[in-house]
Amino acid sequence: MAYLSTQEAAVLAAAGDRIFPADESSGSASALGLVQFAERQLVGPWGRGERMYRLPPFASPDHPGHGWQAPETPAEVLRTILFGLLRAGFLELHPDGRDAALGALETASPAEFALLRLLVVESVLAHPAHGGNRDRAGWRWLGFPGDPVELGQPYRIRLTN
Amino acid sequence: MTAGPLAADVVIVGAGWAGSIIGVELARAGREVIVLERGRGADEFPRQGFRDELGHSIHQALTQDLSRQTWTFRHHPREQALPLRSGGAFRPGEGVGGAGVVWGGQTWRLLERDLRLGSALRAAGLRPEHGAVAADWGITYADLEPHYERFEQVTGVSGLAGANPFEAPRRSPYPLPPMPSTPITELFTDAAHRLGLHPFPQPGGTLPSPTQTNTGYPARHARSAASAPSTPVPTAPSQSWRIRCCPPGAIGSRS
Repeated sequence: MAYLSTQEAAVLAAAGDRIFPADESSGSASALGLVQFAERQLVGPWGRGERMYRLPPFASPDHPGHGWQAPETPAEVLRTILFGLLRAGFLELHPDGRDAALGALETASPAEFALLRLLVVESVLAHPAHGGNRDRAGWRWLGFPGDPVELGQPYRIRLTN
Repeated sequence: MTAGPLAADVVIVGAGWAGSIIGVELARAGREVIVLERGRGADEFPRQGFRDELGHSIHQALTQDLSRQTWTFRHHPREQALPLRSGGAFRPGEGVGGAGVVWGGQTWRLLERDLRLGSALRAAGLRPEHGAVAADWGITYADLEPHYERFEQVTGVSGLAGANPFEAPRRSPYPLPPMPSTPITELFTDAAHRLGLHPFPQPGGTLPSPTQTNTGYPARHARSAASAPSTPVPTAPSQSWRIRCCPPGAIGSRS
C-alpha cells in the first residue's frame, strides 16, 4: 500500500538526499530506502499517532520543552511539509537552492524541519527490516557492526574504529 | 475476562514491581489476592524476531499507551501545564512487570551517608543551597541491609562485592557474578585506570550469561533481566493469587 503520491515521494527523496547526500562513505538516503521506510512509518501506528495523547487542550508553547503538541498526526504534518516544498518548486531547484529552501523551513518551522530530519536519520539507521538502511549500509557508514546476537557473536564484536 | 464477581481479601491495582511484590507477599501470608493490570499479561511481551530499537525504544511500544491516559506537566509554576502527548525521557510502564520489564536494571545500594545526609552535611559544616533539602531518613543503612540482600537474592542481581571501593559494607556477595566485559567496557576500564580512577562492574538486574539464573525460581521463567514476571511472580502460591489483565477495549465492559 503506497501512502505517498509519486510527487510526494519524489520531493521526500530530493529533500532527504540533501539532508543525507551520497558521498564516498555511503549512498544517499533515498538509495538506502528512505521512501520505503517513510511509507511504512506513515501508515503504521507511529504515523497515525495511535499511542499519542490526542485530546485537547492544544497549545503552542514558545519552547520545545513540551515535546509534540500539534493536534495533527505525524503523517499529517509530514504531508503538509512535502506539499509546502512541492508548491515552492523544490523539485525544480538546483542543490544550492534546495539547501536554501530547507534552511528556510528550518528557520520558519523548526519542529517541522526536525520531524523531516528525524525521519531521514531513522531511515538510514533503523534496522533494515523497517525498509531503510539497505544492506546495512547506514550501519557501515556509522561504524556500527550490527546486533551481536543477530550476528551470532554475543558481546565480542570488535569496534571498527 | 472472567464472568461473575471476583472475591478476594486484597485487591491491588497495577502489577508492576510494587504491586507484584506486595501481592506475592500477601498471598504467601495467606490472603486471597487479586491484582488488576490494564496492560498485557506476563507472557505477551511483543517480540519481532530482531531487536527493534525503532519500535521498542524510540517509538516506545513497550511502555504506557498515552492515548488512554497521560500526565500534564510544566517546567515552572508560571507556565501552563500541557499534556505529555508522546513519550520522551519519561517512560511509564504498563503490563505485568510494568516499567521493570524494560528497565535498565541498575540496582545500586545507597551509601551509609545517604541515609543520614542531613546530619552528615551539618557535621561537615555544609548547608544545602537554593531551596534544596537534605534530611536524615530515620533508618540507617544497617536497618536496610538485610532487605537489600533479600531483594538482590530474589531478583538475581549481578555484581562483584568489594570492586567498588566506596560501596557500603555487605554481609554477603552478589548472588550472580558481574556482567562480562565487552570491547567498550575494556576501553573505558583501561582509560579510567590510566586516569587514576576506580572502575568497577556496576550492580545490575541483568543475567551475566544465558545459562545462569538465580537459584530459587524455575529456569523457564528466566529472562535476560530481572523483572516481576520472572521473579517473584512465578513463586506466588497459585491457589491464593490471581492476576487479571485488561487489554485495550475491555475496560468498562462486562463479560
